[in-house]
Amino acid sequence: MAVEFWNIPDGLIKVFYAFAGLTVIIFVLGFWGKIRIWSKGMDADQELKGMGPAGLVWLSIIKFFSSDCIFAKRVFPRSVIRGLMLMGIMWGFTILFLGTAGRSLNYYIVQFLEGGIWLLFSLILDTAGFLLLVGIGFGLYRKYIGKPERMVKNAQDGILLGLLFLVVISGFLVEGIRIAVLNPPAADWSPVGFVCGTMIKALAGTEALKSLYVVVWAIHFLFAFSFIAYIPFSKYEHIFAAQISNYLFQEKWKKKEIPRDWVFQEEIAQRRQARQNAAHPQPENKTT
Amino acid sequence: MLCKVHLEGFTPAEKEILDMTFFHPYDKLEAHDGKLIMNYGSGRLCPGTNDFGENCKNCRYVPFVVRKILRRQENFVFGGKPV
Amino acid sequence: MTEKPFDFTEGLTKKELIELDACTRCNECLAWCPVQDVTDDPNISPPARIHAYKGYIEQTHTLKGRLFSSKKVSTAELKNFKDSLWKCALCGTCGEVCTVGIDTKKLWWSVRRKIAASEVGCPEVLEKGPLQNYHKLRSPFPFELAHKYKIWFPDDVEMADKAEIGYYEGCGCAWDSPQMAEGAVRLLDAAGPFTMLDPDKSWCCGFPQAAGSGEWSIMAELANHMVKAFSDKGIKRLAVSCPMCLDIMKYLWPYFYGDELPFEAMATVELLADLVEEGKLEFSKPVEETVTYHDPCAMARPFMGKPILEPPRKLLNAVPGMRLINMERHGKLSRCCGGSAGERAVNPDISANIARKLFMEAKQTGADTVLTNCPVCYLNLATRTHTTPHPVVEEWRAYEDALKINDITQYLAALL
Repeated sequence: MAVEFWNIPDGLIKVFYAFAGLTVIIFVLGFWGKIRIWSKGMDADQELKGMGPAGLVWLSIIKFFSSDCIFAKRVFPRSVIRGLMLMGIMWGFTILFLGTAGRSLNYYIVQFLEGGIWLLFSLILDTAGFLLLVGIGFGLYRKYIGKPERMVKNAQDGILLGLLFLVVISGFLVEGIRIAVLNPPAADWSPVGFVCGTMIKALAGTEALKSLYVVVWAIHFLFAFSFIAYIPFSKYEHIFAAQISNYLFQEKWKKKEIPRDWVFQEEIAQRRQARQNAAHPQPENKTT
Repeated sequence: MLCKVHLEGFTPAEKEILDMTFFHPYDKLEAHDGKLIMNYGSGRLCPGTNDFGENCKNCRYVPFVVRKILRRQENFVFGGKPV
Repeated sequence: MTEKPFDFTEGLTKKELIELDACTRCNECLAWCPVQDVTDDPNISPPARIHAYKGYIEQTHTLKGRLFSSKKVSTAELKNFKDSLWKCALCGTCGEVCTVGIDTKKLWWSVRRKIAASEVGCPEVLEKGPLQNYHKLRSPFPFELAHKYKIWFPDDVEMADKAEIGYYEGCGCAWDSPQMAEGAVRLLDAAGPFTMLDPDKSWCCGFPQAAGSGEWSIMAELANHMVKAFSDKGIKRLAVSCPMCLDIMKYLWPYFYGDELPFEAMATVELLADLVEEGKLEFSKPVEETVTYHDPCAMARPFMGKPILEPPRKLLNAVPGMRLINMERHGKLSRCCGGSAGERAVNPDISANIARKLFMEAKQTGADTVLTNCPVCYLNLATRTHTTPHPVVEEWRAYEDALKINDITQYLAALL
């Protein structure tokens, strides 16, 4: 079963909540800032016609789970390995994020992570973490070692990948140390954690491990929250936008012929009206 | 290295059109002795095989206005330097 | 009274604003961009421009921007951005390969419009040349419209006063690549009656102004005039030789006219392919050579509707003995010729180098002739029209004998 806040002093738990709150505020403000700018745009597409901020938020969330997005459909034709990398990072992070949310749900609302469910949950999360690690590892390799022929460089890209890498590593270390100290049954259902734990056990004694645990746990949440707060202000803002852009891409015409005036519909209607008014002016009201 | 073709007997109105036709850098018409030399074509001396490009592998397109002028010329000279 | 600061978001669509946030810097487009091919400069790549423009929006619209940077984007920065923006040939390949589906062609047109309206304006050579010419003559070329057909319209072709089939050659064909127009009218004439506008009424389509100079203010008058002029001629199907004219007719004319066009605008090759199918046109002379066909960017990656890739190939296959080889990059990912969107005037060296790459790829097919279907593609592949320093062009000329360049309609007209 899940063990929350094991071995964590109360003071640190309060700091954790403070950071969590701050992160959520910054993240939401950042996302909201984007939505605000998007909704200032002209209505030129049927799909976005009349959409206000709420509609755009909903579209952003719902299209994240479209097959175009989660199967990285536009990436695979360009490069299978980059498609796999993207899926690893995307799925890995999403599952871990939802998993952590699930653990909060389990802790505060209804305990469901018990027995078989817990084991399956652990396995899925560990796998997700592993896929995420592989994805990030490949990303870092592509950025710094096997570089593509032409590349727009930006330090931010490397910083983000590095930050994410540290989040995952520290996460596995946390799990590993806990497994090493507590020796829970069926620990091999968290395979990566189990392997970490086995390696760590050989390095230090229980007390040292417990102290290290607090440090690594703190590092994990600090990095994780920093990463999440940074998302809307970095190129990772594409997690809000890319799925919409993908959805609207003109390739959609393959499924049905898009009517000729799908662009600037409202403006065309206004101009049509103006032309009709000019061609058939209303008679002036004559007063005697 | 370009086919040279002499143009003569053109009216001022036609000259106005010729100036509009050849306004690209290496395309300019050269004037010599009342004749215009048109630099046009593939890069060879015009072999003078026939009617301006329809069957000439080497010739690029010769604008219709130019073909009209050339067809009027009795002593139409293909290629070489102007005499 | 303080001046209202320039609003970088005004006039952009919701989709465009979203797309600016969607770019992941995956670098896929750099591998395909023709300008990158010849400059290897990531600072002028699509992601660099997207992130720069996004930065201007953030600087002027967000709290982060107002806190951490100056509220106004500097003129020097905008000038830099303008240079980069006008190095783009608007070929749209970046959008075709974009892993998040950014419609870059529409985006760049909109951003050009914005920058042209800002304090830095569009490049001077375009402002003083094509744009001024348009204001005076309704044509980007410095010639009176009355002369528009005089270079190329053949004496032995009859133009009807009114007809259901119309032809519009466009300024590029009229002045730069007249063989397209002559070939087209010969083919149309062979199939039945056709009509064209009186030359005085045959204004520019608006592409050099809207796409080249970012000047959209002329479009309302232009679109309304042209649509009325075509309608007055009774035209139901309009064959358009220049792919860029066709592109803007389908994308912007309906918007500025205020309605769907009352006629069907189609590529000349599309109409000709239809006429062949209807049995109104056939080719009797066989060919004994191999050709390759270059898909122009505005047909391979048009703004609206399906790419026009099959009709020209259907047309070519209707010729007895035709052997057609495709280039490695053909169809939707066909190469840019480097000639469009003001590139020839603003960045002649980039333009010539891009064209040379296309020429070399065409040569590699081993074909005898490369067929183009755009006045600018033809023009830019013809080395004699380049102003670049000699070493680039002279080296290229050495190959020119090895591969003949011809326009598809002129080529086919000779085979009637």
